[in-house]
Formats: sequence, structure tokens, C-alpha cells
Amino acid sequence: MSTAPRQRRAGERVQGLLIMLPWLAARKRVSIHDMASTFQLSVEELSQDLTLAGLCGTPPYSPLELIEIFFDENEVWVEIPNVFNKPLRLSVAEAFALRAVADTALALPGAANSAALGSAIKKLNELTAIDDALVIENPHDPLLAELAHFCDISARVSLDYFSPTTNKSTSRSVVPRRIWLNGEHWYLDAIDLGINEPRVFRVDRMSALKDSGEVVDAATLPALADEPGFHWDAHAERVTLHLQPSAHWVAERYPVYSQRKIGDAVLEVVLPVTSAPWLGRLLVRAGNAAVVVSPEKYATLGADTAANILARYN
Amino acid sequence: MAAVARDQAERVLNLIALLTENSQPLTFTQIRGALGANNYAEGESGRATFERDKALVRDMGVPIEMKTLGGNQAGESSYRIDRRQLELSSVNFTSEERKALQLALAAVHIDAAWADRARLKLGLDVAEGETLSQAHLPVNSVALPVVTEAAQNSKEISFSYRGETRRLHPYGVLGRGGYWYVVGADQMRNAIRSFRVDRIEGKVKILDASFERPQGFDIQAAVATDTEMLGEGAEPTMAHVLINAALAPSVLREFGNESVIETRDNGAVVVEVPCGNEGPFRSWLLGLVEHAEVLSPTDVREGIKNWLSQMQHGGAQ
Repeated sequence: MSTAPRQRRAGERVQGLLIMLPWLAARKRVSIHDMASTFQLSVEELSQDLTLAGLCGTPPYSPLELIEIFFDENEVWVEIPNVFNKPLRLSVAEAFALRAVADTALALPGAANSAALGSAIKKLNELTAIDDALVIENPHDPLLAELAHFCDISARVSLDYFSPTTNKSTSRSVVPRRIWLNGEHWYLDAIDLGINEPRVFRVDRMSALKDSGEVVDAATLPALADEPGFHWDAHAERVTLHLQPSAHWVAERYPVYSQRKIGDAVLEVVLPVTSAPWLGRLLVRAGNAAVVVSPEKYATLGADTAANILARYN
Repeated sequence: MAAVARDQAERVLNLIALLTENSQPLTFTQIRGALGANNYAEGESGRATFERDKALVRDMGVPIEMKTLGGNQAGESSYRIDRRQLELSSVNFTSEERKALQLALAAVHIDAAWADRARLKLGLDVAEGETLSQAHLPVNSVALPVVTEAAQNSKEISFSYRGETRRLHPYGVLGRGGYWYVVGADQMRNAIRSFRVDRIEGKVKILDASFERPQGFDIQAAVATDTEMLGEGAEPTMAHVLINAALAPSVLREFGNESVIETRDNGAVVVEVPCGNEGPFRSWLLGLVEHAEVLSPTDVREGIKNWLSQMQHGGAQ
């Protein structure tokens, strides 16, 4: 069933066309489906925009001054007058994003040809004039280079891992598959051979990393999710907290399903929670400024966690 | 003659084409004459339509220059778009550089369409194949490019932060730990300050006043790290904390081996860490739950015990 095209603002359409037209001019003839996918539009939306561009040009609007768009079966090609045939200057937001991406990529372990990326960044700086006004600082971990190598060769390795989910350290046998950076921490996607399933490990919680000397055929391993990240939705519990102002950081630091203000001070948040020890740790840090509203079974979890820590002091 | 202009997108595209093609600035009357009444009607309504279109063009980042005329057109405004300001300067990336940028764009995911638009303008393809290391770069504020632009052009900015209006000479923007900070000289407090960009309320205004950034200013050093924040109290106090073997490697990654003052037979370590800033220190320590214990100073240890006790019994903290 076809759906009605979404309403798009004039600015969005024009901005898109100002990028699309030089792109199309450089390629001459492309598949309309590929182009729609590149610009994240439906074929119908793309056709509408290109048809609009075909009505534009400069006076006296003779064919020489009009943008000519041709559709032929599944292909589109274009004849563009002098005016829209060169790419537009990068906006500050675009230059910012490109620099941020390139600088972050330089910190990725195993980054291919970092010398070429470094020289590309220098050229970008000349193009955008963003130089030392922007600094991207990425965390470092001594295990990164080794883990990147193990990912590359699909090595079986052993490691000790402290899990906040269980609040315990255990030895694991894993095949590292992918390293990723999120916020202040590096994570490893690996196949945990004990359960033969993908698991996420925070790199700074690993120790005693050892290469077994065995290489595993990657094709025999379970697949990872397409995108790295915390895929907690399937088994997470929904926990509702009321946060006084001194605990509002909880909503900034952790993913929440929803949040809303209650009165002037209290923030109600609904958090995904995958383990009681993790929630207990969060509650004891927030103190009495965080109160569990539901589910009832966690009402005393903060106090119980505090008592457990306090036992160590007495 | 062009087809009847039916919507704003078509008018705006025609307007950009006209102002870019003409090397001389055009008045509104000349623009209306060139584009026809189908685009801009006679009278005030046509003028209002033109003003809306001009604002939209500027919002898109297309620079329209305005010049006030003299002579027999004295006081009348004229407009043009300088192609050099509009179009991308040619950049000659080598094939290796292009490939490296494509891989970077495939490996680093940014929460905004900006990077993708930049890729398309530069004519870079999407890199094929899987990247074994990736990063997610959160972009949680539309103010980010604005403060970066101001820092890059050494322009003063004003904004609202925690209910107060601030005026800042922004020396730079720092991305650290998933957050963005704008750092500079706070003109109200006459001191170097940093502000989390996602906590800026409303719009950031770029003001006319310029400044010169002090030579050698260190943006990173101006924003305290989480570990440095533990010691940012009134008195420089250090705490001795016993860490269980399970969490020792992680804590040593944070504070370095030089923080260890004792290693025990069971693998536990005693580390010396700053504790002058009570809240951040407590949050760090309790994040280690029962795997860590403050040994000294006594008042810090008692403070932690008191916090836990109040929590256990539901008292005020």
C-alpha cells in the first residue's frame, strides 16, 4: 500500500536540492532508486523535488538557463546551467561534524591509514577554518590495540571481567569481534563461548587478557547486531524513579524511556533496568534524592545496598 | 517565460539562481522585474513574500549580501550572492585521503545529518565493508555549531545558563566523554569558565564584539576531568581507599599505578585519591559498592558511613 508523501518544508526541499543538483551534475546519469536512497527520500519525494528543480533557472528562462531533468525508466540525468553545478560551501554545522568525525576516527584502534586521515584533516581545516577552536578528546585504554588485533584475526582469548550486572568478577573465554566508543568508555562486542552468544564488555573492566593461540572461523560464530550499542529493550524492566534536583543527573547520564517534571523540583523518570545490583549501585550514589516508585520489589533496594556497603565499615 | 511559481521552494530556488548569476547587486524592484509577478506580486504582499524568502535563504546558510544604494536610488537596498562565498573551494584530496575520510564517516556515527550532508557535498561515497572499530558521537544541542563558529571567528556570545544570562569570549569547544563544553572568558565573572553546551537554555547569540584568544590557551586543561573534580574542594585532601582485587585493574586505569600505596596478598590495593569535592568523591566511591572502603582520613570515612546510614534508615542526608 502506498502512503501519502510527508509534508516537507520549503527550506528542507531547497537545501536538499542545493546538495543534490551538483551531486547529480558530477555523476551525469544515476539510478533514481540509488539516488533516493543516498538522499534518504522516497522515489516519489525525489521525483517531486527534481521536477521542481526543472522549473527553475534564471531569466529569460530559455532552455539554456533552465535546469533540465530527464527521467528514463529507472534512471535520471540532468543538464544544469552554470548556477547550480558546483557543491556548496560546508555550513559551520557540517564542517563541525566532519572535523568531529575525523578526529574521533583518528582515535579508533586499528584505524586504517591514519597518516592519510591526518593529512585529510589538515586539508579540511584549510577548507573550514575550524582549527584549534575544536578539540575532541577520546579516552585511551591500554588494551585497545591488542583487542583490535584479536578482532581482526578472530582469536579466542580469555579474560577476567567484572560485571556490574552480577557485581562479580568471572573468567570468560571469548572471541572479540568489534570495538566501539560510546561517551567516556570503550566497549567490546565479543562472542562469549561459554554461552555461544554475543555479549558487550566494557573494556576498562577487563583484566588478565590472554591469547589462546587459537583462531576461530568467523563464519561459524553467531552474528552481532548490525549497530553496536546496548540492546537492552528485550529483557529490561521498567523502573520508575522520583528524583530530587541533586539526583537529576541520573536522567542525563543513563538512557530513559521517559521523563516528566512533577511540580518544581521532582523529575519522574522511567529507566530500563537489567539487574538489581546495577540499580542498587545507582540508588546508593543518588542517596535519598532518588526514590523508587515502581516496581514495589525495588522499594528498599537502595537501603539494602547501603546496608551491604556499611557492613564493610562496621 | 517560466511556469507559474507555485510554492516557496520554487521561488527561493529562482531567487538564489538570480542573485548568484548577476555580478551586480539587484534591488527588490529589479528582482521582481526579473522573476515576474508570479513570484512577487505588486505592493506590500510581494515585498513581504520577498522578505520571508530572503530570511529562509539566510537560514539555510546561503550568504545574501545587502548594499544600500546612493545617487538617485539613495536608501534603497540591493542584494547579491557572491559565488565565492556560496560555493565550496576546490579541495584536492588524494585517493588515500578520500578513502580514509570515507572509512572515518562509516566508523563514527554522529547524531545529526550534518556529517552526511558534508560527505555528499565533498562527493565522498559511503565506505563499503564492515569496520571493526566504531564510535558513537552524541550531538545533543543545536547550539554546538553556533558556539564553534563564534570560537573560530573570535566573537563574543551571550546565552542563558541555569537561569542567568552569560556573556562569554569563547576560546574553544571541547568534546569529552560524550559531552561538549564551550570554554572561555566569562565577561560577567571575569574568569575562565566552561559550560556544558547541552545545558545552554534557548538560543546562543553571536555578538559584534571581538576578542583575541590568549596565546597557548589550553582548552583541555581548562575543563576539569572527572578525576580532577574529585579534588576540587576548598582544601586539597587525599583519601586512602582500599579496593578489592576484582576492581583494582579498572581503578588503576583511572588513577594510574602511581596512586597505589599498598598492594595486598589477595590482589587488593590501597590507592591515594583526591577527595576534596565531597559529592563527586562519594559518587565515585559508591559506584564501586562494597568493593571499596575509605580507610582515611577519619572525617571522610565517617562522612561516608553517615551517608550510608541515613540511606539505610531513610534520614536526611
